[in-house]
Amino acid sequence: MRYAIVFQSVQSNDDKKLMTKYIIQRILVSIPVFFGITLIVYALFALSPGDPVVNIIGYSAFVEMAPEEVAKVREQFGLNDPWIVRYFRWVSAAVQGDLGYPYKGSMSVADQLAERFPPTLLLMGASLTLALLIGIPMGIIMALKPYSLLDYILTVIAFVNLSIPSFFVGLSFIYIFALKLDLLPTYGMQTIGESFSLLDRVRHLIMPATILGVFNAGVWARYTRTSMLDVLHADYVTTARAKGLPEWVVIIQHAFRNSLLPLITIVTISLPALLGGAVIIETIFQWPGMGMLGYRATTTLDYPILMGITLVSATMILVSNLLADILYAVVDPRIRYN
Amino acid sequence: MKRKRVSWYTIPFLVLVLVLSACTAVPAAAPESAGPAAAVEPPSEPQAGGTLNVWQPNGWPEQSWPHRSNWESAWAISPMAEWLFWPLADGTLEPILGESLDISADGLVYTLHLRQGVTWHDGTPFTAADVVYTYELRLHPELRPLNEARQGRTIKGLMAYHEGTADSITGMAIIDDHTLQVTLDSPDAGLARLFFGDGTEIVPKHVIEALDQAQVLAGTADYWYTAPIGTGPYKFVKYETDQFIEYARNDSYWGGAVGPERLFLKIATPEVAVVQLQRGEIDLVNPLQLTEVTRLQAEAGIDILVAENNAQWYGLESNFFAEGGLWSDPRAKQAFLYSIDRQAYVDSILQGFGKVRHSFYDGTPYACPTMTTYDYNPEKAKELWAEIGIDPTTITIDLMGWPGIKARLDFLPIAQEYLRAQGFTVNVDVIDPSLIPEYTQGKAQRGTEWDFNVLLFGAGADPGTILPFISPDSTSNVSYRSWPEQPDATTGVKTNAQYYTNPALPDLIASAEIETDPQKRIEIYQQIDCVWNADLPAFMIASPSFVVAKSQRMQGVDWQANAGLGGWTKMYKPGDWWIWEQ
Repeated sequence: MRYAIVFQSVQSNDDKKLMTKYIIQRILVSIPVFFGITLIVYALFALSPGDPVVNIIGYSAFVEMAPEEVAKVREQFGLNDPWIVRYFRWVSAAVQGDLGYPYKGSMSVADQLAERFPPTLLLMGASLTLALLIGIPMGIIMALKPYSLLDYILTVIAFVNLSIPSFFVGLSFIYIFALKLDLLPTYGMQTIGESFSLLDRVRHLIMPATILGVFNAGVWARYTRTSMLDVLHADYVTTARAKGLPEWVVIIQHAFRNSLLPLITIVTISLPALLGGAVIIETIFQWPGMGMLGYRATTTLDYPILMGITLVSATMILVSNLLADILYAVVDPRIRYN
Repeated sequence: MKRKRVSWYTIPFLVLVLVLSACTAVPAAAPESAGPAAAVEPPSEPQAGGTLNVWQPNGWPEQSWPHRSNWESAWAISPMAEWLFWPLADGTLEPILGESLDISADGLVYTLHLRQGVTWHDGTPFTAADVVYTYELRLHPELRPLNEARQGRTIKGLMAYHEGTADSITGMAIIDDHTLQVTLDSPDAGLARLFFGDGTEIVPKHVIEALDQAQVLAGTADYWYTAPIGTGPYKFVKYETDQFIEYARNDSYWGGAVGPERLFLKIATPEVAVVQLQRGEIDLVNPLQLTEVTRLQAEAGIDILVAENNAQWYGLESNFFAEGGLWSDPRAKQAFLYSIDRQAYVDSILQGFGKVRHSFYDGTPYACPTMTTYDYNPEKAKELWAEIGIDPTTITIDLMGWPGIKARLDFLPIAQEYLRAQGFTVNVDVIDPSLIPEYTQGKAQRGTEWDFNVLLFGAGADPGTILPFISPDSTSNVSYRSWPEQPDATTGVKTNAQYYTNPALPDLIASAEIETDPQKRIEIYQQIDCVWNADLPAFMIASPSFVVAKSQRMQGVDWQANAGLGGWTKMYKPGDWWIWEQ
């Protein structure tokens, strides 16, 4: 009841104005931060050792081409200019929506990002939902029965989830569920040669989403457990019990809600991964998302694509941080924005 | 308490047992389209219909035909794109869009006769104009990135066009719709196989010249991945990014009836591709990881095909800067080879799928008839080191390689151990490919003092590829320019990569470059190979075989021909492939 009253106070006109002002301030601060991130990342790419021309034309062509031909290729891609000049050229085009073309391939960077966005969103959204549905109840149960057999079993499961490399789990899943049990498709987003169906899409989603979801569930279960244990010993929880409230009301409305703050931090900082994708899982399961694109671009030093992904990731980090701050206010009325 | 502890371990253990039981106790699911039992022979005549599924490794990185520089992109377009001739291992040219090639007595005029009755997938006739347009596009001075003008430099006006001082290649003249005349400045015996071979897919002039030319030159026209057309046995249908490329049968194919109605190139990781082969979802896995061969040989419905590779070998290339020292004496290189058990490398790393090589052309008709073999002989190596006054305990050898082909890189630690047994101190540097220029030019951690790098090398489509390694001024190829970046600063002399010469070579090279008679070419190159075999400008390690796995339902595959001369495996006559449905 107390929380309901306080929550309403957040929604008062003064608080609304305060929050709006805060959000505008944060967005304005985010602009230089955003450019700072892209500048640093661009500098790191540009100053790292290695010659992109080798990857652009291939090693065998590189050694067989005359020096003047190699110089011309370098000129064609603007690689003779200082990196800061290249950065400003890139950023001035990027703010106009032109992210350029990759060093290899005919599809523009913007088109590639747009094409990869929905598959990654689908995979990461599904895995995030799964992680929340598994991880939070698991953490609550562990906290309610600390140091019990159940707590130990769930702790072991959580650590197993965290400890086994995802490539191993991915290949094991393919071996067991696709090859041996023939229950699920091997890879991709749909059965090749067949028209789209929702059931088919879900079947293809099960293995990669489960692996990613279970991994995050392990992490979030641990955080939920710790956070809940802190809260469960608080005086107001004892008071709530003393008032004779049903146990589930005590747990959910009094304890869990107050344990949410650290969890919000963990979940929101995981949000950029929604667009960053899961490099290994997307690659193993041939899920055509941002993670696979990033993996390919990294191995070929394709700076235009890497910068495109950086731009998206930087935006997501800033947005998710802002989202975390707003959610703090919603959950904890003690937080003020002045 | 004791009971609890047992439970903690028991439950995960039981789960593990259950999972393992699932892996071992359940028999392999029958693939949807599993191959028939081995005892049943396929019909002698190809069957029509069905869907063929072929593995496409590493996606489709470069869609634009004039821009492609890697084999995966060449493989991806093989069902629809064709070239003039396919150079075969016996030295002949198999006609594809080209029908025949007449060479004048002085070797300066090539008359190219094109196949008649060929149409593009949109029904437009294929003509000589398409061929000239294709070469002018590939060599266009504004192509981004610029294509190497490695072959065809002897064609009149080709370099002027490539350098932007001429509007066309004057040496390529259209006689009629199906005849082309190519005029050279000087004889170039390797031209037929290297320039008119499988390196250049012919593009439809009437389609490409209607596109935005800036996009065509930059390789950014979406045509290449939305609606490309060729003359091949399959028509492009659709590309789903990093999922598949779909093709449909070309019912008007000049090469005759094509069997399968549809062809999918499925993009997957190597591990998943093998699983899909086992499930009957993929019919051809190329290349096959050698570690999978034994396991798949035991699988019903799967064939392992092995094509011998006579055109490539893993080898060691010596450092230009170190060449004038220890390694200037051929006996040092011979001792190096005697020190290492390369057959053991073939047996272990290549799992027996390969052959030890002793000279550049070893395994080909151009090989030295009196070749010296450098089989493992550590005692002989020690004798040679002593003979040339080398104390191995005082010398450090630096070997370098880069990731990409694991079997190639794996040679380095093996060589390291064998050379250590001889008393040397040996370092192995594994570097990122983008760092190769810095390293080879002496600007990395070893400076100019390193010794060898490992690479994949070989004669490829024509024996003339050897010439840049032994001649600074080969006319058929530009000089190999790993290092130095410029001609020698003090002498101004342009040299080959190995800083190598031999007085017997200039005359042999001069005659090799102009001799177009196949038999006489063989004799000349055999003499060159004998010089190489003794001097060892670079070390041969072994040739890895081309190993693939295919389903038994896939028929009509001539893998030895498909591997061709080994440079880049492409689809050799994919129109001949068919599905055996029972």
